[in-house]
Amino acid sequence: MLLLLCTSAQAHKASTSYLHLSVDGGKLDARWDIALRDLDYAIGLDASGDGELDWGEVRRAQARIGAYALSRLAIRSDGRPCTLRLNQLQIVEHGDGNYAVLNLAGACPHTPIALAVRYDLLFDIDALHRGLLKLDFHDAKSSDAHDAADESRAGLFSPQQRELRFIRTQGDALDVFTEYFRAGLAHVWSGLDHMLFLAGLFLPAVLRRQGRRWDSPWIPAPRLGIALRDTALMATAFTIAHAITLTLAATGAFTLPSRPVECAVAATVLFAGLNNLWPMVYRELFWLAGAFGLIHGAAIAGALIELGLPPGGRVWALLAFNLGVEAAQLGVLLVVIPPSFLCRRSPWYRRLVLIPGALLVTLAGLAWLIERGLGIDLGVPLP
Amino acid sequence: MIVPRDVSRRFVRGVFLACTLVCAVSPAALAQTRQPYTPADDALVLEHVGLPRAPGVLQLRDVREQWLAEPGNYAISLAYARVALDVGRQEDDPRYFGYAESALRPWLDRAQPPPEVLLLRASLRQVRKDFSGAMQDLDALVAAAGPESAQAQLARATLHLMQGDPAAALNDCTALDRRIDPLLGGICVNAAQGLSGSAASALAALDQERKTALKASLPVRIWLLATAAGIADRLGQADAALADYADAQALLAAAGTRDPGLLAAYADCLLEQHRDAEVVHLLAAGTRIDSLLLRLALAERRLGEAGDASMTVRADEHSATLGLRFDEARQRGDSLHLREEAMYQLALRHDAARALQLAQQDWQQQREPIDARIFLRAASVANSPQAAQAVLEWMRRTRLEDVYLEKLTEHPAPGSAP
Repeated sequence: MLLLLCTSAQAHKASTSYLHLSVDGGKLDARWDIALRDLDYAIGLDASGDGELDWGEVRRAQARIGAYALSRLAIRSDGRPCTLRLNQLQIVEHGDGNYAVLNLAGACPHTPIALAVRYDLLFDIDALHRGLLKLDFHDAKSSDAHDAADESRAGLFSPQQRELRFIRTQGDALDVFTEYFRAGLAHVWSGLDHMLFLAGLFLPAVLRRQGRRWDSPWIPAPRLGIALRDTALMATAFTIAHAITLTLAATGAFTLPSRPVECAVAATVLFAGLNNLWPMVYRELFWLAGAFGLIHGAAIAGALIELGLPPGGRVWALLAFNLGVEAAQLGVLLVVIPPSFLCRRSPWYRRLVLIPGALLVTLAGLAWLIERGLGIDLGVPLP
Repeated sequence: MIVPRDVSRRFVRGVFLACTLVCAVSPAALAQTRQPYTPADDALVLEHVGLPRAPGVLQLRDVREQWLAEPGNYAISLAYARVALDVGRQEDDPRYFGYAESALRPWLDRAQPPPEVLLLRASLRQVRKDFSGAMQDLDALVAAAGPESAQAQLARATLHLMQGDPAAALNDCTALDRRIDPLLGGICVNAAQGLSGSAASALAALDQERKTALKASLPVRIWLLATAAGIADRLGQADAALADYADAQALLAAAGTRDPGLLAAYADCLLEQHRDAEVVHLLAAGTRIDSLLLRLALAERRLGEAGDASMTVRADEHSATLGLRFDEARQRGDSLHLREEAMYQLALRHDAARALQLAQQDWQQQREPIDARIFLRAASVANSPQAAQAVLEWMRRTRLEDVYLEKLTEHPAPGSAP
């Protein structure tokens, strides 16, 4: 019954660690403050078992503390791992007690543009633990290393948000362009919904339907050039429309609630798949691609804002991102269209690729629509 | 043992010198609290990790060992979560709530958590001030009418009380009265009536129960004493209230446990009577808990203003620590301490505008008489009594009897008089 008595007094704060990361060229420096109470609960520091943690006990556990903490932190620079080691262990007082100060040093393979920080400290034993991150980028060219940071970012790690990614925005314009272009490529190549949507749209590029019936005849494209031109036109219409809503949403001109937008994206995948089984639109497909591009652009804006848009060079970064999307799409087409063009007259192409592919796209679109629209988990991985 | 006289004299002089030095240096030391350092002495104690005064801790350590060995075992996880929640309440420390949540994670992630887990989740949500989430869980448990429903209904009654809805609490208490221990049901009913226009009769009814309560379990006895003390205090019978608070505190101390909520209410009552030295004595060991540290600093500040310079030094130090804790909590996105932060801004930082803002936010979370008091005081000092209109309306609606609130509404803005 003790459980039920209400204590209305307020608590101290829950467990928090403070990670201050400085990036100077390829060099990493970090100060990580972790509460001694937390370290004791996680790996047991009170060797004497008397309930009091003294400096001797902490000092002698330095290697264990370092190994434990560093096994819960990973930093990658442009996708490649950086090293970190514990240099020195100190003590600092925070509002709720004494903390171990882990002075860390390390290096990245090269000056990072995109930095990913993965944080897993204590989440397994304390669901309310949070990690506060402060990240400073110093300009490698600046002579004095103690200069104020050229760019500062902040973040919060939680069990739901264990990885944070930061893209340098005030670096070299070319670097920013490259990084956002790459992010655009990655968006297409790693985004399952985007790829399926493209597949649904381009599967019939080498074979056209004539008429709106499910048994309407398939007409093979006469020349490779025509197939490539038609699909490139569609891809470009999609990208232009995509760029319009993405730019408007990412610059804050309008905001859309994410759930209806996510549902709409699922609906476009469903439609693109279904359209191959039962043609609803079969001429001038680029209009369809354009309309769907508007929806997909609105959906990606949220993710891009999370990535962090440079306040000064938004247009530049958005342009790079959209060009990356376009390049990735054209790349997919160049790889997929020629072989399917060669096989287009074989009935096996239709039976083994086109129809099963369209079915797959349709089912995935339907599953996502149900999952997002009704909040039911069907076990289909969400993109 | 015989100690040479000059050695003992040197020792006394040394201690005296050290004390003077500490007092003189502490404001300077305060400014540097955030500088990392390497201790010179291995024997320097940095942290108390054993929590010797909490009787649940030994058990917590054992059950945690079992959990680490078998994190998927339902019975062990449930036991670990329960003990952690209990210790968290005694220590008023959210770390333990985090441990409990981690232990329950596999079952919390299910679409339909088992009722025992749901009951614990309601408690975890309540301590995190997610009152609507807690209410949802308790509603579901009461509606399911399973073995947990009586406990859930009692918990829902206390939740209604915390949110300033004694009428809803009374409904739950009355329904409960027939289902559980009549003493517990009776305290529940009187706690609700004590907040809704029948304070005197509720207090008399609670007095009738005192004898029966002698045989009851410790938490039930504490609840009766704390409820009676709260009502007496609001009726202007501070001496009776303080006697009950002292009895409750003595019972808890004898059992080797504590209840930070009770201590805070006890201290508030003493502060209202300007018995500041007693507050300092009562809370000297409670500096780890924000709500208690705040009351301690308030008492020290007043004693300092009355001429005790050493108290001013301690009040400054404790006030700085509190400020740091509130800042750090805000950085991590918590807004759990709105009530205490409003009190801190009003009485220790003298920022009435900020205090009023915090009191308004606090009022959206919880509505106990103490929240109303802070809201009215902040509004009055900030010269915007109209800001607290919601409180006046709430007082009219619930028919709350409270001498402190009545005094505050009679003189809405002492500072604004021409």
